Order: sequence, then C-alpha cells, then structure tokens
Amino acid sequence: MNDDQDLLILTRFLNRFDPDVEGRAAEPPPADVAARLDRFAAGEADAEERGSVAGLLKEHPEWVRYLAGAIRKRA
Amino acid sequence: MSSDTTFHAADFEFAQDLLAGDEPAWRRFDADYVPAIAQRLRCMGASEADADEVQGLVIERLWTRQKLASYSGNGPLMGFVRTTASNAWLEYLRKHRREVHASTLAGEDEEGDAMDRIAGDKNDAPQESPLAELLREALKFALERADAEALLIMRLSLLQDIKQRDLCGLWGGVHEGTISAKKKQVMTQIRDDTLGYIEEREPNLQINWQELLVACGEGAEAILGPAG
Repeated sequence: MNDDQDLLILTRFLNRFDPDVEGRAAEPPPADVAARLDRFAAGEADAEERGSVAGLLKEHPEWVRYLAGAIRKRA
Repeated sequence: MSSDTTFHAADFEFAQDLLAGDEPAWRRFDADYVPAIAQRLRCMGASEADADEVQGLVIERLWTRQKLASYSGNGPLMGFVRTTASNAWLEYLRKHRREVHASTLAGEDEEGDAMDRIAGDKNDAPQESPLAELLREALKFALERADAEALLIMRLSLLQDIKQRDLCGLWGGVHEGTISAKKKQVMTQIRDDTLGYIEEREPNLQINWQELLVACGEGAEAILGPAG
C-alpha cells in the first residue's frame, strides 16, 4: 500500500458520487482561466500564482484535466 | 490489499454457489467468512453480545435480502462481506442511538411515546448505505481542508499521469524529494482529517484507515451497489 494507491481508491470511491472529482468534465475552462492554466503549464507561474491556481483547481477539479493536457503538450 | 478492478472469478462463483444453497459452499462460508464478520465487528468496537446480534443481521441481509446477489466479482468477496458488516454495525449504532434518544424523550412532557418516535424514524426515507454517506462526507471534509498545492500535485501525478520531473519544473525547479514530501504530507493530512471527522461523528464506529480503504475500494460494491 502506498499513498498513490490510497488516493486512487478514495478518488474512485468519490467519483461514484461526483464524476467531477477526477477532473473528467468535458467542458473547458473559461478563456481567462485557460490562459492562467497555460501559463502555469509553461512553468511561468511564480509561487503566489501557483498557490492561486492550486486554490482555483481545488474549487474546480473539473479543470485539472485541461491543465494536465497543457502540461503534456509542452513536455 | 488491491484497488484493481480485476474480475474475481473464483469469489464470484463461490457467491453463486452460496446463493444456490450449495452445502459445501455454506460450510466454507461458516468456516472462513462468519469468523471474519465477527472479527470485523469486534474491531469496530462491538461487544460480544452486539457482535452476535449484528452478525445475524449481516447474514440475514446477505441471504434473505439477497444482498449477496449484488456482488459482481469486482473485488474480493471478503472485502464485500466485511464492508457489509461495517455498514450493518453503523446502522445498528444509529438505531440504538435513536432508541436511547427516544426513551429519554419519553420521560419528558412530549406528545406521543417513544415507540411512536421510533416508528416515525422508520417512516423517514431509508438510508440504505449510511457507511457510504459517512465516508463520502468525511472524505469531502478532508479534501476541503487539504493543502491546495499538495492536492494539485497529487491529482496531476496520480490521476493525470504527469511525470514527477515535469512537476518539479512547474514548481520552480524543486527537487523531486520536495514533490514526494508534499504528496506524503497531503495524504497524511487527508487520512488524519478523514478519521478525525468519523471519530467525531461516530465515536463508537472505530474504523481504521486500512478498513476505510477496504470499504472505499474492494468493498465499495457492498455499500454503493455495482459500479456503473
């Protein structure tokens, strides 16, 4: 058992109630949010902005998938 | 323990044999599963007398109410049965609490009597899986309290398969050890807050982290029904 495995179990469980927990929603974020996420994905966010974006995504986990996609495009 | 969703064919066939009334299967259930139910209940704080009563409720639920028929083999049968026991114990605790509350009120100048109030409770919309609801509430509470950056790292790493070295770059070029430490920190926080919430809400439940993971993972079908 490890932390990754634990979170996966918990997320799958919560996902049975709320499909947005894993950030699987199809709707893209609004343009201003997308721009912030793109800057984050480009590694251009400073500590303050990272904290702000993290807080935003905590409230809107459905946008995590967009961020992940933006990171992958640049990797 | 595993979180995989591999089909557990042997357990599924065993469950079908049980449902069909196969005698050797029943003997095996009595030998292997009934003691596990009793052990689970005692670990969760049940006295011997309570454990005996709830064990009967679990078995009644599995057979008479055909709960076992909802087992699809998406996890070990033992996890399904143990989680059914955990859920039955929580229902038992809550029912007992209502009865105590009602009998206390009966001594006061309320209209009606205790049995009326209990009957009133029973007429409320039934909560089929109180354990599922409790776990959901506890986890949501813990996630709301979790450090946002550490939680984002966990989500990107685990759920979106973003490589750790890419995360290091996004977080100002920190060492991979820093990212690992943040992940560890947030999981510890989630664990502590989840268990703390449950302890506050249901002090007699006595569920530990490993058993909670069983209930959310391999036993989830017992309290949520088959995955869609």
